[in-house]
Amino acid sequence: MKKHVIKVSLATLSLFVATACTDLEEKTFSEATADKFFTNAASFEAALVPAYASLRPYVWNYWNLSEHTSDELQGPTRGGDWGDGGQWVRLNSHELLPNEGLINDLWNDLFTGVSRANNAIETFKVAPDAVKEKALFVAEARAVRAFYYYLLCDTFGNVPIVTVAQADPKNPPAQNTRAEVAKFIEDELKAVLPNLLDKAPYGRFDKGVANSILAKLYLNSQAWTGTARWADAVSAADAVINSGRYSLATNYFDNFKLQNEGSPEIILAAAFSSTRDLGFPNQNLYMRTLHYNQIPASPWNGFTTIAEIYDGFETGDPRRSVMWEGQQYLPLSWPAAATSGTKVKDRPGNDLIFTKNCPITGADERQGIRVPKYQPDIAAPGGQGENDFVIFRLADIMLVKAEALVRNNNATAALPVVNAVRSRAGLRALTSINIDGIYKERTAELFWEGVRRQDQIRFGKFTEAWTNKAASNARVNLFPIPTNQIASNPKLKQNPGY
Amino acid sequence: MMNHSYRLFQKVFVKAFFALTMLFTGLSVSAQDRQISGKVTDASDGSGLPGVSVQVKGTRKGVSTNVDGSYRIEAPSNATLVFSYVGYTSQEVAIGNKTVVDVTLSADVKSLEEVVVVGYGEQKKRDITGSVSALKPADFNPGVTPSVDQLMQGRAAGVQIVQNNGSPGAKTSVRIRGGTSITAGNDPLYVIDGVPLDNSATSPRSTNRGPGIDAGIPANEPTNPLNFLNPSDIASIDILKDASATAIYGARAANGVVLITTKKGAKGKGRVTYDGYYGVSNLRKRLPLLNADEWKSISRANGGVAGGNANVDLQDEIFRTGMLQNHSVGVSGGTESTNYFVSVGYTGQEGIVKGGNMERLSARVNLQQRALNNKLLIDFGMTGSRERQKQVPASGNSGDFRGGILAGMFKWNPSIPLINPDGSYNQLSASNPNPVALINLVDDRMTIDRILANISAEYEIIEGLKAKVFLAGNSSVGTRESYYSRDLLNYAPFGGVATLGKTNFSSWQVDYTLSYNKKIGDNQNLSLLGGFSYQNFDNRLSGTTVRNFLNDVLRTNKLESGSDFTVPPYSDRSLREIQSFFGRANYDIAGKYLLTATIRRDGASVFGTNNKYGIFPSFSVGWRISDEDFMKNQTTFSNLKLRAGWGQVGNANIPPYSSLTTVVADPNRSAIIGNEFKPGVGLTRASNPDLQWESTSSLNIGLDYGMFNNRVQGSVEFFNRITNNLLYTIPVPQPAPFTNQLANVGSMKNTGVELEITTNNVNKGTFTWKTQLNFTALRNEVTKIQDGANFLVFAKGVGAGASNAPVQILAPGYPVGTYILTPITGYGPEVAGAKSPTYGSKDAIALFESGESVAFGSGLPTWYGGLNNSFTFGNFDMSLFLQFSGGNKILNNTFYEFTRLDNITKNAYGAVKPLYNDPQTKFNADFLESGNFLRIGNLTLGYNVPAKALGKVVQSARIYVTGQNLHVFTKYRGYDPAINTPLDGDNGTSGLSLDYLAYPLPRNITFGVSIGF
Repeated sequence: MKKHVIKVSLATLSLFVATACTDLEEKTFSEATADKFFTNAASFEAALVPAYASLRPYVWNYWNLSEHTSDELQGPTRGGDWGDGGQWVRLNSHELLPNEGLINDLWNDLFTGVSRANNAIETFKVAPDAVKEKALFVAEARAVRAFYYYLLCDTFGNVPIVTVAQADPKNPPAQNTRAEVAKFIEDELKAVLPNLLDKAPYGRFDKGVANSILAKLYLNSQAWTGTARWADAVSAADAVINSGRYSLATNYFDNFKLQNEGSPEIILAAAFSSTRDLGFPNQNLYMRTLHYNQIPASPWNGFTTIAEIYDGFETGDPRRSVMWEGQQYLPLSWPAAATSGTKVKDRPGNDLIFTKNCPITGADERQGIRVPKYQPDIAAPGGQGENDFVIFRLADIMLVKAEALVRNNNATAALPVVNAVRSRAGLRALTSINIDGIYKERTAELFWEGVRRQDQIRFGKFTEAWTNKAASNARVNLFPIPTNQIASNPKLKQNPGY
Repeated sequence: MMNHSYRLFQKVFVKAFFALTMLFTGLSVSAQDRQISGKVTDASDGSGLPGVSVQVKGTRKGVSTNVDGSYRIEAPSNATLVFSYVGYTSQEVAIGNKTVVDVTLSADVKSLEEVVVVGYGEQKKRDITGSVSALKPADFNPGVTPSVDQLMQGRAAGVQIVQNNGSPGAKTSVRIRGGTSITAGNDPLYVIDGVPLDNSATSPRSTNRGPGIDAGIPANEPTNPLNFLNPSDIASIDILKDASATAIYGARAANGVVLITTKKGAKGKGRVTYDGYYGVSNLRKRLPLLNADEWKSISRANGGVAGGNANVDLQDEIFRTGMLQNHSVGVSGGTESTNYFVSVGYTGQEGIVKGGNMERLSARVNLQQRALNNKLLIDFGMTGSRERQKQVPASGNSGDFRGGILAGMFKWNPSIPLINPDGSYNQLSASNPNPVALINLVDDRMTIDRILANISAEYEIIEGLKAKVFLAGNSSVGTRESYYSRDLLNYAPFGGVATLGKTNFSSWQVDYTLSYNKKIGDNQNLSLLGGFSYQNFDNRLSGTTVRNFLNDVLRTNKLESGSDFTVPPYSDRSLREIQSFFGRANYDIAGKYLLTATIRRDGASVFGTNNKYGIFPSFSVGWRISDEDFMKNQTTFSNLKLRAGWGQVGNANIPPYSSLTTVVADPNRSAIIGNEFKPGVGLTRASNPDLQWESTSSLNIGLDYGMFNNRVQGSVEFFNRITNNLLYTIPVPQPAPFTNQLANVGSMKNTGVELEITTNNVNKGTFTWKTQLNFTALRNEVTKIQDGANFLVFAKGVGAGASNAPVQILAPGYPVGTYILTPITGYGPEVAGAKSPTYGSKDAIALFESGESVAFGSGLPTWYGGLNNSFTFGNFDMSLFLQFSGGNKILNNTFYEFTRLDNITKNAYGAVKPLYNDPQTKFNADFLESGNFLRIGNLTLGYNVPAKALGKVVQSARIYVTGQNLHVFTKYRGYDPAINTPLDGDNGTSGLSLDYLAYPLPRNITFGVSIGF
């Protein structure tokens, strides 16, 4: 009897247990596995978008690292403000540390872009034919990937070339040389060029974008790989210039105003919106430079340019009007600062007068010339501008062509190209041009657009001394491979000199 | 003199109380009966026992014995007298025709027979082989204890409870024997009447997000997940500390287990109790903020501006005396087969920062029914509660140089008025918020409705064999309605922001257990337990934000009355499942040699596919030395038991989806293409099929002792805990969908000793004095972190210019939360009386990387404890509870930011004295302060109204006054040394002992009454 009872109860219990048992496979609700998510053409088409979303971080890490290490921008500490663990001052003085957070973030930004492009390619491989544009999307994704590799080649140089979305942590990818990376970019772009659209909708990669990347790659080829490719640079630039799809904006500042998407000059831009949540980073370039009391969103009173950049402009160059010096007034005007109205005060109550000289540490609120190159979006609360960030524009590519011609000993052919850019700015035509003239023109045309570090390296000026910065070791022409990356991928070797 | 005033006090007290109780009950009139007298003596030495309760059975009539043990009482001739005294066996004597009744009471050996809840069952305390602290209501903290965890603060060795901030309803940190984890949480597993809780906060998260929406007002404080329970409903709290005790809870037990048992009814006539208090709550300490004159003279002398003509006392403007109240009514009773306990409670607490408050209304029902010849026991319990909080943006973060009320208070120039002549708020600038405007123009309300219910049926199949089915459900629905007025400077551009957030957390659970008890032979006992458990947690949340309202009238009540819908709504859902098989065996020989073994196999849906199940074993042994023959002839030790145990437990606190690669569409992955918003779909993270629990193995050796007839008793314990497979997000090789991945890396070690002593110092006359001390000393060391890293950033300081400034690190060979600060090489000339430090060329991180040691100490306390002294003088009682902690350093990040001289001269901000001059704004040792403190946690004075003064209705009555947090002996310069402001480090760490704008802990004075009917 006893045994019977035990048996029955055990049987009942095991029945309960059996019915309650689950395999513990995690159920997904607010996320989905890829095989469950991609159910129709619309969802497949959305797979390319994240690769484009990765253009936006350009405006934060790539821009900051390209500008702070260059001569045209500095981030002084002001009292407690902008100390930030010393990172801005370190960049300014070319103390480039492998464990610098911003440098690690840049690596991650760019490789996230690579991963997203690779994932798009992998996804389209399994897409049904209902996804009509899948061949085009694959070509675009490869071009986008080439763009991120172009930036990686520019900043870190020696990076692994990977064509899968997720590297295997147990067998991480091997490092490639900078020359191999450059070759990969060139091969990829050449391979996809025929499949790209002649002119894609704004914000997407087309032949113009691919040729712009190639032009820049060739222009920097000598600095990056030791092989000069001046003629290739000219022909790639010509492919853009002669495509007939771009023209210089009548007004230089149309490229930077709030609704700059209408500018015929823009080849590639990262689109931002003041009303759409697109996550960090925002288009907040004006927030980084203007004083707290200049617009309602309370900018951060940060970055300035230095005296020799400001003084280096030709007299009457209207492009300089967006560099603000002296007493500031409200209401604000742009591009030139308002010259009348209510005087802006600093927080202690002094007149807000921006001065040319500004130390790199311990500056006060008023020191330093401010450069709101992009129009401040006064209506956008909280520092999220409507202006799109221009990555490639025609004037830049024209100057690429002119520089390549000059370097290839054909200054005569370069002169009209430079003069076209100057003429749009409202400056007199030059009668001759040399490499120094090109450098000066690039400074005046492209300041604070995120190209300065690359230019300075190519012109051999990056390691020189300038205001608040001593001469630096040639190793800084490449950023160090971040400590975190070497930790997770022991196959990575540190760049020379670090 | 003393005696005289004591008497006088007693008289006044009694009279006052009489007046009060008469209103309710009327005076009782006692009948004239026979007079009985006698003496009560102690069996051990024959001395008179004072304070023994002598009661006429079945009536409320009773007296206490005098100093010499004698008593006198009137009783009818058929009466039986009941003699009872704490710690002694009660005796009943029928008086018959006697007029003198002398009684001898002996110490109650059964006090050792106290039972302890051990998880899926109970055990006699004398048979326990693991490390368990058992608290009964008499051990709980009196006074304002809005959540259950505060009942045990300082009361048990090895258990440290820190109120992170003084905001009503704020979450506390409960650490049992230190922390075992870095990122996966260190709070213990709470099990309420058999239902393990999910520790995640049930409050809707701050939904203050969207384009440009972060206008500087900090996110709100996390709320305490135990807020829903009424502490008056708690019958016991049993804290399982070592792995041999906790391993029955397997993968969730690494941080210890707190078993909370609610009150049940007992056989007998229905009893009604009322507990209530009223009180006040205020700021214990004021900080030396500059006044207007001081501010102006410093500003003038250092080239600043003149300032205004007001003289604002900012602390007066921000802080207030808050009102406190609590009422709880319980009804309980039962018959042979049924018993019940029903209660309702209300708690209201106003914060000491103006504007905030918390209220809770709760009800509890416990029913037990026996049937089928007592073979079936049905047990039902349910709590329903509504918690409402109005939060103010008091403390909170933000080195985004705007901040909340406290930041506004510190920053405000005292010479500038807060209110304009026209009555509007003077709002200087976005970065200099008006704290009073923040108090009045931010309306953030939260309601959480929660139901926790469980029912079980246990059937005794044959003698000793019981089968049990246990079902439980838990549902929590939270609503958060916040509105940031259009009149706030930072919110004016948005035209006001209204956010409605919802959470819906539900959970259900089923357990099947089979237990068997068997006596083998003469003196051996075996008990076995086996079971299965399944529990899931289904968490849903959502929220909507609308901006730009015409005025402040309709807000979240009518979201569509706004006109800006650009902030995307959000929602989220996840389901976590846990499935477990467990067993336990207890075996003893003659109660002398004890053996316990447990095993649990735990699986969880959040584990990676390669590691779905973990096995968590434990073994422990006990030896009751005092029961050995060779101890028979000594009288010093009345109890002596040696215990040793080992076990392995886990921490499964892994966020949902962490091991999977999935795809998601969200704004971050979307882009504007061709001037059109295109949603993007991309991979979320790198998959980690190996993801698993953190694993802690722990060794515990303990000695329980009782001396001199248990007048001195307690325990000493030693423990050593090693945690491996620490969860941490590590960088993954790129390219990858995300930069980091949650993985099992790293190890750490906690070693410590615990001491508990209870002494009955005086037990004579009307006077008793009892002392309880608990003390814990702890050492923590990180032994391994991720490969290739010298250190990981554990916390970053905040404040203007402090982004990315690491202040605490994790590094092998150092305790968690080790400070890393830039060494001061000297001091330059003082500026305006402010110290001006100078530094070497290398910063802290560079020094550490070049091999210099870090010698600043850690934020982790290395010793802590509590000392309680309780006294009774006749009907009066008093207890004084001191709490102490130390060995840690506090980073005073508040002073770092708000003592800066350049804040005055450059920003025209207010400041705290003494001023400090450091244009380089480095975190240095001048802001690192000792965390040692001794707090007068509790001082209670009570009066038990004598039985003869009570009417027929009232059976017992006590009135008391309690002061909490009366004083803190400390060198710490901030508001309070026992705080922690989470300051983000890398990958979800948040530091230890950091003070940045922490909401000060209040001082509470309450006046309370407990009445039993």
